[in-house]
Amino acid sequence: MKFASFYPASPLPGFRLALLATLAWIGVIVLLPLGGVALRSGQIGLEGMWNIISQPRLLSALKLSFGLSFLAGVFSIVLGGFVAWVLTRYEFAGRRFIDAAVDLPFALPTAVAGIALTALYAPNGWIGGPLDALGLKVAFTPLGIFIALVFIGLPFAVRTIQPVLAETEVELEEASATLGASRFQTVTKVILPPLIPAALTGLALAFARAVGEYGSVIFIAGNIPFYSEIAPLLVVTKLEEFDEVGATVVAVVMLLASFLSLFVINLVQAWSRRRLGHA
Amino acid sequence: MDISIRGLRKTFGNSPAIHGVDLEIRSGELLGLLGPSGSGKTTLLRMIAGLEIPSAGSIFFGDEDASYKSVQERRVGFVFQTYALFRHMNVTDNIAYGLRVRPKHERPASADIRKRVADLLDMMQLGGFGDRFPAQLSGGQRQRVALARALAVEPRVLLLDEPFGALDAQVRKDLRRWLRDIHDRTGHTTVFVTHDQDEALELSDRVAVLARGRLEQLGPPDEIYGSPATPFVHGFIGEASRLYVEIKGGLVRLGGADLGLPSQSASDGAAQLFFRPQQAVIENHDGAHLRGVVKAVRNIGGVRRVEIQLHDGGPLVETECPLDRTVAAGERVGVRLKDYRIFSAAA
Amino acid sequence: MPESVVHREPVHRDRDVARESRRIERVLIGVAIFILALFFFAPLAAVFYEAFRKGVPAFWKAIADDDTLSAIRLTLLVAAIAVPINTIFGVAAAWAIARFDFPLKSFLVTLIDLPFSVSPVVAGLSYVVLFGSRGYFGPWFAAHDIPVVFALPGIALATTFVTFPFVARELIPLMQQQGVDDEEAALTLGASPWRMFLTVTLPNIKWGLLYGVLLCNARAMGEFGAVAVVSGRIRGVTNTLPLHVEVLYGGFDLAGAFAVASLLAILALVTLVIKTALEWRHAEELAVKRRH
Repeated sequence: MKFASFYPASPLPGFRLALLATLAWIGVIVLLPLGGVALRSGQIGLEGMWNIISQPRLLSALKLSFGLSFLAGVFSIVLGGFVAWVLTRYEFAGRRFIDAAVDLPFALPTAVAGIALTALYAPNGWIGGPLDALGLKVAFTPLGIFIALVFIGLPFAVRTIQPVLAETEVELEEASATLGASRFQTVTKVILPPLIPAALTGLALAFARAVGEYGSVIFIAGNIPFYSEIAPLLVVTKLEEFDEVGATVVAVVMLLASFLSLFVINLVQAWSRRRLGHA
Repeated sequence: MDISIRGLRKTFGNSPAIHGVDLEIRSGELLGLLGPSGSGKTTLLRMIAGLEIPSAGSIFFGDEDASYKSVQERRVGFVFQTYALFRHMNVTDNIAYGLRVRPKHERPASADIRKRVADLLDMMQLGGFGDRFPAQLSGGQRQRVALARALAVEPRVLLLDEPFGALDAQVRKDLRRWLRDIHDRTGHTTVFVTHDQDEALELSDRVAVLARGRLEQLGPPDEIYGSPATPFVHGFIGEASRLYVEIKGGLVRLGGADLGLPSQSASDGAAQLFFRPQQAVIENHDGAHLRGVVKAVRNIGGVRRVEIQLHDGGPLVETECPLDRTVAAGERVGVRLKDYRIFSAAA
Repeated sequence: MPESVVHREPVHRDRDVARESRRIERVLIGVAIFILALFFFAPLAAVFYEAFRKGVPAFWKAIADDDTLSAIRLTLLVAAIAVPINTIFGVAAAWAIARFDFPLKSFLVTLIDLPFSVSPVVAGLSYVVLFGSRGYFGPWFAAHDIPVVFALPGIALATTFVTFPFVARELIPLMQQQGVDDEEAALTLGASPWRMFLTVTLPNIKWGLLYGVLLCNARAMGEFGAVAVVSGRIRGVTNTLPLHVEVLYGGFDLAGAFAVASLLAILALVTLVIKTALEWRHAEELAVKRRH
């Protein structure tokens, strides 16, 4: 046991106990279960896994989940960036209230959000009604899934962009103006580019969350195979059909997508630290 | 480009920052705006740039009334105290920015822009730094990039806000000389703001001293130092001792006693008397104008300063004292004023 | 950086002339409020509208229903298990990470954040894989008559998984900012480790800890996907409140579903209010860089 060399030089007590507890806790609660998923999916071999992944219904669900999650992430960034701009740049009555409300999707249980969005966007709902009259169906279509994913993604976008925007010095804008730039040029060339790393981070966070999102989506999705069935639902469906291995294969694909997003976040942050001298 | 500032006022909310300033800036000169915190010097500079809208008064660039022109239209070069370099652009792109944002028909060809940037990098001794990002530069280098960026647009006037404020003492000194040199070579009308009198006096053709939103004095550094126009300027520029005196029948009285000094044509009534340490000598004979007790003696590089309290709880004054004369704290001494200035309170 | 800020005066700005006009500003504020109203306020309003659409008596009937009450009890029980466990281990993890340097520390931080990037459905599945009837440990637990999946332990475990990072990720940056001076001072004054923790560490981190516990609790009571997979949704037995919402909704009892949902919405609102109050009052005693 090389624990002695592991032991840090610090006068503070409790390192060994705290670290062991932490490792045990992560091991039991997180790593062991996820390891089980990986192990179970692997027991049918790569070919067996591929056979499951290449099932048209699953492929269609994965495409829908990844595609819509990405689109919803991009849309959240645009919308969230705009909201972050208004919240950091302008003083108005109720600003702090609005700012606090941005976190609602973090606090609202997903099932509640799911049935509420469905009620709103159903053909007889407050928003779905007028849209339906215009011939636009939202609930029980991919568009409904998109709306639910934007609901979930918006706070990630606002909260990653907001602090960076708040740090942008007014002098940068003034400098740009004294150099003859129009307001539009100042916004596009001076204010927005430094936000790109934060926007990408927000996009990756929103994407990772959206790919795995279940509660707020299944009610509004309609869950029609090959049309509005999302990947997380297939995990549940396969499990209910006693196809545990199939469920774990879908889970592994989704896990890989989340790890990839995490990896992208780390890359972006490392890059922006090097390049811009701050995170 | 001459710049003429007439009756300029600026109020923030209810608090006035500039109370009616008239100032003629001559074409090609290097003018220092000197003042303590809250004197309104930065606000004045920002109004010249168009970053702040005057509450009243006007600003002329030559014959052109620029008072209500936008920042963009004024074509000024502004160097910010924090430099405000664009962090996501390298040095070249920072310097070229003002040229590249011009509308197509006014924009130089990209080869010309490259040439201009290269020339500026040369002039600023930044050759080879074009690809660096601001985060990779030292404070002094950033300062030079900011200056190059401001000069790239061929501004009608160059405005610098505390140009050396964020630099180490040694770098400040080097850059000061170098800024003077750049100014002499390019001939831009230049206005810079500073709170540092040494900087203003060393660098400027003329110095404008501001206090509480008013122009106290405008003139060449020698004049500002040698003949301060107001009590504020005398107290702010250089070191000086101040005594609150009374003028009565052409005599200067302190606490009822006649000091035996001429009143310099000051009218009767309350007045302030200023003298610099080197204008006073310690003298025990009858020629002394002031008497007091030595409180402290300090050596500052070849000169000795003596702090004297005129009477218990009374004002402190400072004189210079030759090294060959011994003085000790607690000793009673006399002070003779070789020169001094009196300002009537009414003025 | 080889520079020191020698002097910097605050710049007075009346209104930045380099910025957009007041009129554009007002339009932008209006659009932002509209977006948030559309996405956030409308769903919330819909929950309460639907809950009370059939009148207050119908609302009370749905709430006072035995299955609802049992769901409330189970939800509170699950939170009462998951939140304290994650709090204790979150503090331990923060102590190890914020107070000591050791190899692979940043990797450990990434692991702690991991549950946030795992789909709740996958989290639930992973416990079925371990403890289900054909799971790796399932048969052993079945043989010893310890129900895990489709029972309280599974629900509690899945909830613990999804709420795992909240306390630790709030405390780690906070304790790193605060530094070790106070604790070292306590030790030099002769405090025992335990006493140092209770009298110095804990008071320093109390608001941050409360903040983390608050968010952890909100998620624990509101978790749906992970719990849905492991619970089996047995009405009156393994249904938590969010699952009960789904069951009622699936049975076309909309008024009942929204009545129960409104309880969870109130929980969310209370959480938001306390969270916001903490951020306003104790901003400097919370981690400065807020990440979610």
